[in-house]
Amino acid sequence: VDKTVVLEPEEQVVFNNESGISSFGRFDSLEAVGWKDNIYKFENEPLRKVLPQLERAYGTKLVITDPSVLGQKITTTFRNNSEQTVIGVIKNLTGLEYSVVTGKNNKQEVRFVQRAR
Amino acid sequence: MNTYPLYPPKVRDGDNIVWKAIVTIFFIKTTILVLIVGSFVTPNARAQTTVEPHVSLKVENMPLKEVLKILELKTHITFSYLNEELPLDERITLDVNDEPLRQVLETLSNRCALTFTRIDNIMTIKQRKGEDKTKRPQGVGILRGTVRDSVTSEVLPYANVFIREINRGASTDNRGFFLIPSISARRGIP
Repeated sequence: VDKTVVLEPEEQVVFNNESGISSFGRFDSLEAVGWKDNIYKFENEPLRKVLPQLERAYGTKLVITDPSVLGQKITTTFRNNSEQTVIGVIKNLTGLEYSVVTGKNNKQEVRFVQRAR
Repeated sequence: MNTYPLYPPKVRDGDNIVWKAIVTIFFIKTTILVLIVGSFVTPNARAQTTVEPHVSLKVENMPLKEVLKILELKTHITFSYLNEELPLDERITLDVNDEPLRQVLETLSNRCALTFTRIDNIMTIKQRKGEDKTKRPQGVGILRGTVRDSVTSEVLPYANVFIREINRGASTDNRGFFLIPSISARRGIP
């Protein structure tokens, strides 16, 4: 593969030895590298993808089991926000209640469940 | 005959000293007062800007989603919402000059049936209960009709029909018939 790509600011390229350049285009720098400044930005992303990233950021497992909720797409930005704020936002948007339980390895996890009727 | 000058008669030196003292005390007092008031006002004003940002904004027919992005840039508030729940494509026209954010959000709330809840610097947005757009099929309508020549009353094929206010339009078919689907009932057509 002999191809030259010049990257301007806010552009990214994905290169693989076998398949060559698989993607090229603009990206949101906050979405991509914001984590290094404690900024977590998501735009129209399913909770299924968002939760693992927040878990890694905050070190607390966030559990939602309802697949229809996990498929909901969320837009949000967390900037140096506390874990309580993150949990509060998820609770407010999904309408779920949460409880903090001790899960495997004695680690605390936050479980979101349907509000009791 | 004695005439008195208009200005006060000369006072003895002793009186002068008393006056000077009074004036000085008065000045010191005002300075102290100003200092005290100043120290109260300054942090208060600062607190207000963090609690209640003011916004100036002029947009025309801009999708709600873009309006929220602009508000984010103009304030330190970020918005959180579930994309499929909100009418993000709803066109918004706003003209506000240095108004508190709360008031701007209230306008958006009235127009799009939203509730805003603030957590920290994050404003979560929900569709107001009972006004969910999916639960309100009557909230969306269609506009259809036939375009005819005003003189001959003949149908006009392939004519363009356009609703300027919501930036939507359609073309008539070969029989002069047109249909514009899913027009939100919240927007009146003048």
